Amino acid sequence: MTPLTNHTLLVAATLFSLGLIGFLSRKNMILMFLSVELMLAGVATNFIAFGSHHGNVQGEIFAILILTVASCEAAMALALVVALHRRKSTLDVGAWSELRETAEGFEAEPLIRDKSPSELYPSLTPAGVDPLKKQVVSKYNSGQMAQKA
Amino acid sequence: MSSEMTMTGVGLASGQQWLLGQAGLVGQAVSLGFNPWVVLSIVLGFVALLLIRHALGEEKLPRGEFTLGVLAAAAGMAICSIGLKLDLPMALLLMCNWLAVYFGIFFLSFRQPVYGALSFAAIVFITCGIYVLNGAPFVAAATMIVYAGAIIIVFLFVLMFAQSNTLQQADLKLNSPWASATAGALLLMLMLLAIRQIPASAAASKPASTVASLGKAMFTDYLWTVELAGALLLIATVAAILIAQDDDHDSEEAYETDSDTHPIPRS
Repeated sequence: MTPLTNHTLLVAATLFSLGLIGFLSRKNMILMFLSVELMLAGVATNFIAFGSHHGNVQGEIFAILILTVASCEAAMALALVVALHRRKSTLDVGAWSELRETAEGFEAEPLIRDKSPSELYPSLTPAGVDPLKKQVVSKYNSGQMAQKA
Repeated sequence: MSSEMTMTGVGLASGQQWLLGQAGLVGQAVSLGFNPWVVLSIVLGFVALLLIRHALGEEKLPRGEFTLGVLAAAAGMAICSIGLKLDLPMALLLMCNWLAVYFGIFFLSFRQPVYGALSFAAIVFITCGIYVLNGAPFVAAATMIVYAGAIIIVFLFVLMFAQSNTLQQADLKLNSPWASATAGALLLMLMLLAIRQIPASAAASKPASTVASLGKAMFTDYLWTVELAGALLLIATVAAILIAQDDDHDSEEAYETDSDTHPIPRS
């Protein structure tokens, strides 16, 4: 391996690790998506390095494909960020932590429901809980019934 | 309450990222072999990162320390390339590597998301330089146009739309910084070890790819890939427009409440 390829691989690895740290540690949704883009840039750098090392175009073509997928991902992610920001007017990912799975023995904080009735969705049995073993009482159903009553 | 605590939280994380950036630079030094010039340049890199980190820990960016840090980093790069008698592409690549690591640390250390987006744009430009040095100028131009010209602008638009003037709690607090920094450092260590395992070999005898050969390969061998990528772009455009649409019009109440403010009467 030539020193040029070696150093390109090193900087790709460093960029990937920094992007991973950013994705895990930041709470702003936009910065999390930017960290993912940083990881993608590291991966594309890796492809370019190996493509030039082997002297063929496959690495470059894969980098161009990564570029396309990254732009699609950015468009979708930013549309999602706009839609989520419109609902809760915050960029904090922690505001959406109620979307996670309900685990056995873990009681999530109750939802604050002060929205219009059209915001009340039908509820499904939470995943991870055996319905035969434990009767699941959904908070969303009870809220709906209270509103009807 | 927690302005002190959150500030220390950000400081802790930038400390971890500082260590990680140093790990990347030390990895480069190890791959260059033990050399007094390398040691001197790494010491200067330490000084630079210390100054920059101290500058970032403050409430406002002290320009003097920031400039000193960047100058120390530049001196380290110059010493590394002159002392080792590197050829020009290698020296430029080392410079790009250092700059990429520094801007990666800036990207993670800024509290304002706008500065993060701008340093990400800088990282994109630096990686384009690395592509050019690796003999891929077309990909470099395409990345610069698509990333810096389109994606970063869209990110800035969304930031202008969504981000308020004051810093929010989401920007000040970090999500378990120690655990994530440890995970990133472990991953970087593993990747450095793996890169060192690759056996040395001569460079490929074939010449670097030209734009013509790249286009020929794209539209003959990889035609299906190009078509699929185009279809994916179209689908993503339609989906993004649909997702980002204002969904207030779904409910009947919205029509009734909006009718007095709306200039056009609805039938």
